[in-house]
Amino acid sequence: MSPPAAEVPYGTLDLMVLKTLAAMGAQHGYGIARRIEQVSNGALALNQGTIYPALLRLEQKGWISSEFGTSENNRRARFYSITKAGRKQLDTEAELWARTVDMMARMLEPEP
Amino acid sequence: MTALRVWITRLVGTLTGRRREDELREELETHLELLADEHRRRGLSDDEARLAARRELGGVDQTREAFRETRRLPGVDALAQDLRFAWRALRRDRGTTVAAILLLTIGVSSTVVLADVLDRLLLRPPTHVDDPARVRRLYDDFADGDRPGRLVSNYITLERLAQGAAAEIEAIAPFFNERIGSGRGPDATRLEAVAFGPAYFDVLGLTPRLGVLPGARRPVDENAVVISHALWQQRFGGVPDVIGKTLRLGQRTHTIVAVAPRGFAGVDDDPVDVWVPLAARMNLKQPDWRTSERYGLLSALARLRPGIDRARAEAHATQVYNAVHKQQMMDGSRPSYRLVLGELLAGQEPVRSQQTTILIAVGAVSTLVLLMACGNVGNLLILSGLRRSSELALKAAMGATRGRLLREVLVQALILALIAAAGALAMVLTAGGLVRGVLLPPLAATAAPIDARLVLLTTGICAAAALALGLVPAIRLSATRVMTPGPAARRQASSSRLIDTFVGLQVALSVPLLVGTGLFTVSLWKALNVDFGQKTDRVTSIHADFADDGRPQEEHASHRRMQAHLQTLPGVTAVAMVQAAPAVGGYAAPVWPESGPRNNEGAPFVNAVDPSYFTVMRARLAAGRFFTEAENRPTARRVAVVNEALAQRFWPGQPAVGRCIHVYEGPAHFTCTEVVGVVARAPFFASITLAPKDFQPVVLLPIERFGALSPRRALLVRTEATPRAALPRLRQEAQGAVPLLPYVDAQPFDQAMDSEYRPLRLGLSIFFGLSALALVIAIAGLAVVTAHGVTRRTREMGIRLVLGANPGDLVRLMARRTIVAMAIGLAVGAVLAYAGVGVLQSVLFGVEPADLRIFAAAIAALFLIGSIAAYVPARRTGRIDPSAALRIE
Repeated sequence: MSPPAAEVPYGTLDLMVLKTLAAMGAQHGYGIARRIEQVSNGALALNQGTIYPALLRLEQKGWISSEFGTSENNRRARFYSITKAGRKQLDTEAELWARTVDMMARMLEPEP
Repeated sequence: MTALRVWITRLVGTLTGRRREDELREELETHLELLADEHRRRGLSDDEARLAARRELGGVDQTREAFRETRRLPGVDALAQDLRFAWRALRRDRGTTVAAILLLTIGVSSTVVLADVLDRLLLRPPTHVDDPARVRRLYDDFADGDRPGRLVSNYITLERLAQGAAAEIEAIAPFFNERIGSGRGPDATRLEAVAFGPAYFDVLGLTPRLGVLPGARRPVDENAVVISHALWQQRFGGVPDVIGKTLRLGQRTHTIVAVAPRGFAGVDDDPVDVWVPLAARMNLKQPDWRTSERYGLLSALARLRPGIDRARAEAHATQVYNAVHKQQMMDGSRPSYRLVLGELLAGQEPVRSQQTTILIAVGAVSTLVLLMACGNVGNLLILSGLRRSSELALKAAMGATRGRLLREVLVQALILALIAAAGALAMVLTAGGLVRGVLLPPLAATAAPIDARLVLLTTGICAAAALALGLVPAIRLSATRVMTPGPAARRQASSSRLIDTFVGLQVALSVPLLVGTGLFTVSLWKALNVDFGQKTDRVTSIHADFADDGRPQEEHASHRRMQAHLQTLPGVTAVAMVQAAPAVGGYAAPVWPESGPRNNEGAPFVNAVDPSYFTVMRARLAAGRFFTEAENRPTARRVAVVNEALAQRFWPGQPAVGRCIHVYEGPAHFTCTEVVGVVARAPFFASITLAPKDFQPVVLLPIERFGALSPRRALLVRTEATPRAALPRLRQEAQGAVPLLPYVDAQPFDQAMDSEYRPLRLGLSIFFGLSALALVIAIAGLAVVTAHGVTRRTREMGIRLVLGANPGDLVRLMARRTIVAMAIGLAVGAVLAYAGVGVLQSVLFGVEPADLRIFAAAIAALFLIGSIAAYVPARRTGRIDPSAALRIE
């Protein structure tokens, strides 16, 4: 039995969005949500609606930008892409995250 | 940096419309469609696919809410709701709202208008003057004196002073103010002029609108003239090629070399039209003016060198001044002077004028009106809050926090204050100009309409008022929890105490205003009724300056012809030709008694006049008779009329009539002039500050017999109407009476006295105006509070009536509470007024500031008016219908 799907840990959604955009280029909201779900391989229960406030937040910070385009089903959709400042932020956050994970891993190592 | 960026985009988001939110809806729809497509591809039916898509996307409404919150600044929605609630409450209680806004507007605008006046008078630097802190006006005083006045000196002394103090002072500019006639005949006008020394414009550092301003390094010949921007517009239609055109001033023609910057009209009270080189005017008056130390009429401005300490410059300049001036006292001694490098503007002179003193006092007093208005508005807010207490209780019960309720009331006060601020600014812009016209001299130097500080001040005052107003009732009302009889009754009681306090406060603050009005009324009445032995309030002085027009020989005959014409006019009672008059000035001449020492000390003023002078002036005889027409002939026997002061000086305690005096008519020309009459009092320069014993001695001589004493002539005209009403026509008729007259000047005989009445009139009008406002506010306050009490206790009163109470007793009961609060307020106000009136000591006339009768009258008047204001609404109690009252829930 696979472990139950986890909620998105607080504060990590922004990082996931940035990483997705950095890896895939311009994407609309649906595409970003799909990609995050795919990468998590079903381990993450994403309420897809929550990425829209997150996208706005990132845009307000100047880390992503957006423009209108046409989606696969021929509808008007907003396409988001990462900015230079966003890439820098992603590097910083990723490093911080790696260090946190590393530290937590050592903390939680079983006693010898 | 990022935080700032976020804040700004959120602010933009708050202010801009909902486009982004509409776009989100579109975005979400696209998202749903894409999700549904995906599910359809996996083989779900259309409905199932859409349902699954909805499930995966989550709540659309929550998403949009979260998006909205991210997009906008936090708290804005709550604020918008507060605004809506407050606005609704204000609209529902329309009467209260309008009253509150009116009261606040009155309070704030009275304060701001006066603040504006004081600002112009005391704080604002003159416009266009470069680095005004370095520009000083010269004042002097005796070394041990404490009332420096404007320095008046001669050219050579000022030149030596400038040379001696050159280390500290860049330049000194002598100047004097003068009115010069321009043109002849019906089109003749008169211009306000400054005769300027070479460095005048260097000292001020002006940039001209057109042309080149003269300076020490840009000398001009004496036919140059600089004109004001206003004159350029009016007389020359604002044409750009005005430089080089000519302007006739007196007997000379001047060439325009520059136009002063717009809005600059000199540094004195009256707006200046033209600036004329000093030499042009002095050469006419006193050909040896550059070197003579005999007398001077020159004032001076100075510019300090940069970085020079004023006190140091003053000390050194004083030293130099005492070394170079050669003026002597009557006894031949040379007094020691102190030079003051004072402020440029009139209101900031070293010795405050009475007018400035009054305006400062009034500025402070006007805040009382503001406080009263605030107190009253506070009351209105509490009352309207009490009426809404069940609504507030309901809100509290439904979970509104105390802070939220508090905010709602505060926002309500803030809205009131903002509307009032707008109203006050409108008042300042419209009525303010009017008030300034009454309160201020023209103040040429600071005539700009409004500046940013004023707007800041108005909004500041309003915001402070809103906080003060909102906070107390807000705290009181937000204490509302669930409505239970006990706490509710207690709350009502404590609110009532607060209301009583506000009522007392309003009454207390009215007292100083009414006392001030009383003091100024009595002062002005006494000043207007000082006995000068003559009545000159219906006398106009008329004069045409032939000397300046270059034909002094025509002055006598032309004035006679003007006199002949004026005498035929209806409304003119009598006309007398004189040598000395307000328009012309007077002179002192050597006059000695037949026997006694012949010294110059306190030479009497001499005036040669027609016999009709005594009729025109309504002179009163103390002894003897007036001289007659028969004695007013070139060959007649020499006779004179003197005033009591002269009789007292020459022949103390003895009769003067029949005595001989010697009037100096030229060297070796001493003949007996017989005194035929003594007029009572009759000072030459009347002043309410002089005691009758200090009046100057005056000798009055027949003008046709003593015509050679002075070439100057003027007419004194007694009219039935006041000079204010009669003057324009008199001037016009006089100007047309003889062809090609120079400008005919007409002014009320009492004009000089105006400067003495003016502060009193000013004080009276402002205190009266503020008192009227205060009374309106206080009456409104008392009436509203009593009326509220009646409404609140209608049920109780109904029961009392049923139980047999006398309606009259109930009315008194209702009014009593307000009246007691008022009485306490009156007592406090009396103490306040007593503490404050001392400020007015120096400006009042003939009345002590702490005059008991005036205090009593003010308090009695307030008590009477206040009682009526409380009693009228209380009468409603007596008319309560008990059965209706008992039905009230």
